[in-house]
Amino acid sequence: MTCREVSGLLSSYLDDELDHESHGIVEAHLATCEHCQAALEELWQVKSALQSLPVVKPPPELHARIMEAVSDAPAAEPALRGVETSPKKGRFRWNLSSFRRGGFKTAALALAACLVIMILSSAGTLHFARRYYAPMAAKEQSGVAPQEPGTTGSAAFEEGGQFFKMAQVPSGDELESVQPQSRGISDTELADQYSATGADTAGLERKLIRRARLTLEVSQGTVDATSRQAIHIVRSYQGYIESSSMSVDESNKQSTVFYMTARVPSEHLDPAIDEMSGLGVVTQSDTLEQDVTEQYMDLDARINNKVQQEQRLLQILGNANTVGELLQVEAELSRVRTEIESLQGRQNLLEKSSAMSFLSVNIVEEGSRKSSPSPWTDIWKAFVKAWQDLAVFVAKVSPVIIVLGAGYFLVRRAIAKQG
Amino acid sequence: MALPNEQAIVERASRGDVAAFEALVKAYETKLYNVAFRMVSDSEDAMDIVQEVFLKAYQALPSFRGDSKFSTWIYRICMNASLDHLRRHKKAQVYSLDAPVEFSDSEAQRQVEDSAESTEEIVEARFLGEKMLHVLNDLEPHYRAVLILCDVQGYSYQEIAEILDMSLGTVKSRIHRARNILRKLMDAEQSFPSYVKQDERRDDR
Repeated sequence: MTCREVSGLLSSYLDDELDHESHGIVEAHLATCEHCQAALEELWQVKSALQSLPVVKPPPELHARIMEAVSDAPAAEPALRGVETSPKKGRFRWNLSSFRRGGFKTAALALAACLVIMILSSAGTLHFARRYYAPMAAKEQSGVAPQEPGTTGSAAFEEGGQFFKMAQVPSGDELESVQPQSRGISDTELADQYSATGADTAGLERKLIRRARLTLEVSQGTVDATSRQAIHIVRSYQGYIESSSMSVDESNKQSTVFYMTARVPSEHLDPAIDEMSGLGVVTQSDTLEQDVTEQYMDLDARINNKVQQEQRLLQILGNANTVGELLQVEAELSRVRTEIESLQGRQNLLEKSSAMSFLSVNIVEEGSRKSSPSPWTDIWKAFVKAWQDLAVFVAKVSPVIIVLGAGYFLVRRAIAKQG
Repeated sequence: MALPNEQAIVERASRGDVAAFEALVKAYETKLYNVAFRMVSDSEDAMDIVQEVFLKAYQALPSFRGDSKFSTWIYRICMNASLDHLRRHKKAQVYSLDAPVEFSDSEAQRQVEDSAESTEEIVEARFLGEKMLHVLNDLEPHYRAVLILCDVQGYSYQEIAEILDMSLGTVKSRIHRARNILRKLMDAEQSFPSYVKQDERRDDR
């Protein structure tokens, strides 16, 4: 055995941690090699120096401090149960362990971030819904394309009654609306809110946005014919179809489903619904009214204000002497004009929305609903959907994680090399 | 080393028996304090670490399944806490004696106060143990950890492997390397007062 090989074993030899065979080899080599003897002597000096380090007496207050901390602590926090109790075996043990220790915090952070994203996105959905449905929605109803409320409305209807109800929650603390108990806000409470709003705006022409949803059941094979009649009814009341679709139900291949969203003049909404109800058996019928009078008046006031400002600016423009003044006033004028137009756009949208009610109609075949009576189907669907969403999420964030991970390891390596 | 009926005491403590836990604290606080103190070489920090270790142990005890010895388990928590502490305070502690101090328009060499002032201290510093204190802090934390466990606390390689969660081979090579590095640091310390040695060594190159 060479000196180099032996010198690598000297520390273990010193600590008596070699197996019998290696011990004998090292001993035999030491007997003949002065160099290795000296090396062993040096190692022994280090070891004995360390062994001679005095045992430090801890400060007397340590014990009291520990017991105080322990007695103050809540017993056995579940979060800390993750402290490992058994060593892991494996080749990359050290790397893994150092990663694991640093990784605990990282993992916890990542988990927290995921939760925050989930909460934010659900809160975002609620907020989105509230913007169109809540009776007392925030006054800042920013300008949206005219067709947007229609499509959102239909999307909301598709989600079913639960979403519909949630959307009615009056605007308030966002988190509160996530809690289940505030979902089930009763109709009377809603009515109270209407009247509260009404007190301020009594005597004015009410601006109401009405949304109705109707589900009809017709006999087999007549969905197509019924849908034509429904479209005809909409048109006969000076309404128009925003979208319509005819599809075969996935869960029940024989069943055809017709779905449309339409806009009907508000004054004709009720007769239109009545007439449509005659086309088949009504299995569901909802209407929702949103009072936007206050928003409308608010916009009105703001527009008036801005128009007066514009007038004053025009006067100033006439008295302007220098080119600099002129340019300044013009810039201000164009800003005010833009604001007026944007406010007017929002007012027009409200006007149009209240003039033309939203009507969405579902026409299904008789008996198609019975095909999925089991709640397990829904649960299973939700389960599958959740996994699909999760997979998409993972796929979307994986590049970020790969890049961050690579960066993390490079930085660690650089730091390790430096150290 | 361990209490005579440690397993029973651990079991009682894990069910929330504070008196039993206090027995464990009494049995281990000095040892753990020494480990932490040698690791971070600051009494206040070491006390904080030991307090934190026992708090963690108390809260995690119900999940301690006993597939390793209690001593191994609590030493592991203590080592992790110490290494964490060092990692967190690394930036504040480590600076190079070689690197010049930078000012906005000029730079100056760092002046280090000679810590061995009195004659008594110089005499004392001749003792190996005292000298060791000086150089031990210069050792990289992971090397310091194995030597503290092996030579100061007298743990076997197998136990060290469990405490630090690494393989036996890693423990072996790490101890060997740590001793060699420490040896060199000690030689340097012996030849020159601490504030000269850095510059001298640089000139040797």
